[in-house]
Amino acid sequence: MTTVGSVHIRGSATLMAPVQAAAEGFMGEQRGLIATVSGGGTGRGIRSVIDGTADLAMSSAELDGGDRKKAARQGKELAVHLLAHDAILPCVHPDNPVRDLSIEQLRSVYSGETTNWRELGGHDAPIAVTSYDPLSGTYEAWHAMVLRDESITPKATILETAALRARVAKDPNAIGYIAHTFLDASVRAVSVEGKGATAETIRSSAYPLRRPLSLVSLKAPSGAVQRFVAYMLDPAKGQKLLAAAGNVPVT
Amino acid sequence: MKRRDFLAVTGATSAGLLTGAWTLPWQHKPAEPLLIAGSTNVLPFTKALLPAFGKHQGGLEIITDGGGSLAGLIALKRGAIDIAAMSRELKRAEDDGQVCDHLFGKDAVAVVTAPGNPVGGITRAQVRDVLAGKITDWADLGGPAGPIDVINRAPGSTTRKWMEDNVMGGAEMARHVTLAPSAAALASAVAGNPRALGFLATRDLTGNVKPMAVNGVAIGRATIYSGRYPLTRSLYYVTRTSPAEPVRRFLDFVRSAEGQDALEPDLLRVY
Repeated sequence: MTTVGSVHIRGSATLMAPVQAAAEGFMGEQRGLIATVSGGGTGRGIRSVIDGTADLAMSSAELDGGDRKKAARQGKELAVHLLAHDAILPCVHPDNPVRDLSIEQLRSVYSGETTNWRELGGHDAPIAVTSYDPLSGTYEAWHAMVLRDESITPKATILETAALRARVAKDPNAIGYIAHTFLDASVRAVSVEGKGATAETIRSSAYPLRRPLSLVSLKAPSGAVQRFVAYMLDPAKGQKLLAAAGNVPVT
Repeated sequence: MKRRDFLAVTGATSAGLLTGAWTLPWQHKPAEPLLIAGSTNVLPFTKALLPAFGKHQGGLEIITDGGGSLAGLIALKRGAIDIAAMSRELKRAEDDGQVCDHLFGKDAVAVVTAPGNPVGGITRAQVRDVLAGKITDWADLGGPAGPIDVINRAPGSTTRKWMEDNVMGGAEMARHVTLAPSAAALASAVAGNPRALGFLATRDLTGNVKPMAVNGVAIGRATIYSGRYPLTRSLYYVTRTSPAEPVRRFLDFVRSAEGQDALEPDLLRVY
């Protein structure tokens, strides 16, 4: 079969399901175009765009200056295509009585200063901190919004999304954080600064832990890549898939 | 130790022998041969690319071998070879930022039954358990009670090897099952037995067997490209981040229409 172009997409697990569904829809309507999707995390996706092994990175974090510089060193420039916003929710075991935490309290827990649930209005029990590996966009967003200048406690257990959720669902003393997309009834989301994450609070940015979900390409991408980005921004197509996955689309 | 010797004496070669060496038409003296080793799944595709590549390349000797994805990657990182062939994505722990992986084709493994079998779907975990001999009755897969006749490929099959590495999760495949000597033999054994279950690479799929949906996703061109079909194989050539000129020429060729044509129809082209 003759190919008229290809789009290779790689990156964040947070965007995986809606982008895979979009790739299938895209190939159905754009005959002769190929769209492949794989994971690896936001950082890996962006690196692949810079080194030319991917055309689009799925990104679940604000693009940092380091990535732009790395591209610039190779004479390349990155372009960000914002698709949607997503919330990150602190989560605990369903039996945990703690219902709300401030960003200050979260920072204190994740930097290792606060180590007992009693200090947060819970039971007298040690806090088991869980987190993601540093290449994950969700970790990067958490670091930027919660930890800021602090480093994460070395006692944190590093897990991948499904494993982290399973750990928090099993351990009454655990705390973790999870993208809205991956929240289910096995864990309880904790509100932040008195705000729960809903489509309205995420859209209005009243919910404090929101982050952009975007596709990152090199500047002036190929026609095929531009067409895929347009598909993702189409309210009846990509935007609908992003909303179905629990994100708040931009259009 | 010379680079070429590395292939012959380390775990990077399965049989301790080089399985293929091509010296392409001599034009100018080549500095070093191009060494490609790794996944046995990729080996036939690399061999399929070489004759067409050779038409454009004067005097570049290419040596290719199997050994497995991991051994190939280690050999690449140690500087013993130029290109590691892999039939899976790099794992996070393997990705040290010094290498990059170039997708060059995709295919998938279909889990197949006879056309009349009423069970249309299976989960990835159930595939593992059936092959391990932990699930032995169709009733456990939602079908009418009766033993599952597993038809496996004989050891040495690259498709079987891929299933061992990527689906079995450390579990062993059950030994007392029927072993088919070839994909074609497996397909006809499954087609003629309503209680049979086996697996086939997409290139070996025939019309007389029925592929099952895996985790609710049917096998097809779109679901393989998107990666949603769980038993999708993505084939990569992994190189150092700034590869040398001959490596770059090889990668350019693999991505070209001519290179991709040489891989079709056994693989889904990605360019």
